[in-house]
Amino acid sequence: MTATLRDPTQDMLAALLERVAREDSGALRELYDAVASKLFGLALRILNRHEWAEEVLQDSFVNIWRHARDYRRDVSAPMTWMSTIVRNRALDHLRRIDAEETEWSDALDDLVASDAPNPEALTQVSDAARLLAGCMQQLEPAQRQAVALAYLRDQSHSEIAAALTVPLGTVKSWIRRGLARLKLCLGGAR
Amino acid sequence: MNLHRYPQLVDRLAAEHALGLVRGGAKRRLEQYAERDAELRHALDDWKRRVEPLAELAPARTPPASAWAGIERRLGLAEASAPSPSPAARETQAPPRPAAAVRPAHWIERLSESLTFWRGWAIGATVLAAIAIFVAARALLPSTPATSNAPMIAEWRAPGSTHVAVLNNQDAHAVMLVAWDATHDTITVQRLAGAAPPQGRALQLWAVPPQGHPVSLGVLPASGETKLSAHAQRPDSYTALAISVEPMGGSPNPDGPSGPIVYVGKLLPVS
Repeated sequence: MTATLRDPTQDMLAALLERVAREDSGALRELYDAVASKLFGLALRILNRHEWAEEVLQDSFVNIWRHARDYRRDVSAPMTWMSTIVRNRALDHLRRIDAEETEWSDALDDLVASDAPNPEALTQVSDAARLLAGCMQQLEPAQRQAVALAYLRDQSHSEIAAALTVPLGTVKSWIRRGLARLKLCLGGAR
Repeated sequence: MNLHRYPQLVDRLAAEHALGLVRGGAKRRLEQYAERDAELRHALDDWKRRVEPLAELAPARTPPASAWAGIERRLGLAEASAPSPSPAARETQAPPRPAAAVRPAHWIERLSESLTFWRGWAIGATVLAAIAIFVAARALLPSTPATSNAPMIAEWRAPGSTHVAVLNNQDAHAVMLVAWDATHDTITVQRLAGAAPPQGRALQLWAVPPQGHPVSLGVLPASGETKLSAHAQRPDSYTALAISVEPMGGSPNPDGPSGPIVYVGKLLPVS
């Protein structure tokens, strides 16, 4: 497979989704080659266990196959749409399993890379994600971490406070200020 | 409360909603407000659009080779993607399985997939439980309820119900509440805003078992609360309820909907 050499644009992904919507299994394979590693990375980020992430990746592709016809380009970029499916499946998985089973060694790591985004790593993502990656860099590390724990681990204010061992009020203000800063940075961009 | 007097609060709530930090009754209330308030709806959508690409920022990792095989197996694609036989070879092959034989399972799978899919989008398990066990709902309502034509969940009493389902539309908004009373063999359907069939069509309620074809529970009148007889169907045998749009009088096919599925929801026992 030459998948990793590709630089799939969102247009190309949208065209593949259109073919997948017509139940073209070849297109599903092409789509898999183009985005599976990106989506697996996300599932792994959320679940931190290979076997769970693999299951969620499979669930997600089954979902993509069945819901491709519901995809709307004017609402979200293909990569955003597919990533959201993976996130939702992964969070469903988290809710199903016993919380005790989950051992996150990286609770204190940045869920979203803290370094300046590597241009190569951003080739597959949507323009909106590229913009957001830049804006996330402007947040304090603690703000960034709190925002990511909420969105990618489905944690509440108090769960985040416990994970980061800070008072609840601190977490609330990190998130509030982080979000305000994000909005400012993203501007009116749609 | 007039939210528009507090634009900063609206913005903050919308942002926290997008991150998944607004939960339980607060989340349900916010989404109910948004249904009838375009400005709030736009604020929620704008923030959803800002936050969603966060999911794209995780670093790529190569999945194990077994992952694709599992997808092919689950979708039954392995045959389809094999190299196609030469025309001569094809003639000697057995004819393909009739499509009708596989359709019911596919239909059910599609539905159950969409259940989790839709739930994931907007209604978390806690909210579902909060709505489903509507007994405590009054405590969740705003102290001065907004004027609404939609019946308030708290005002709806369905004593004796053993199972309940909240049916959501494709945008994951709750549009119908169903209470199933297994003791008295009755099913009560309560509509929230917007659960009306298109002109000249009817809504039909289906019980969806884990396996096999769905069973019709009846065709609903065009509006209002409806009581149906369960006709000795047991709620324990079903995992979900669904509503399809059908010709007046119901689906001509006794084993399943003929029209699109518009609302679905898990059927949960009341504990």
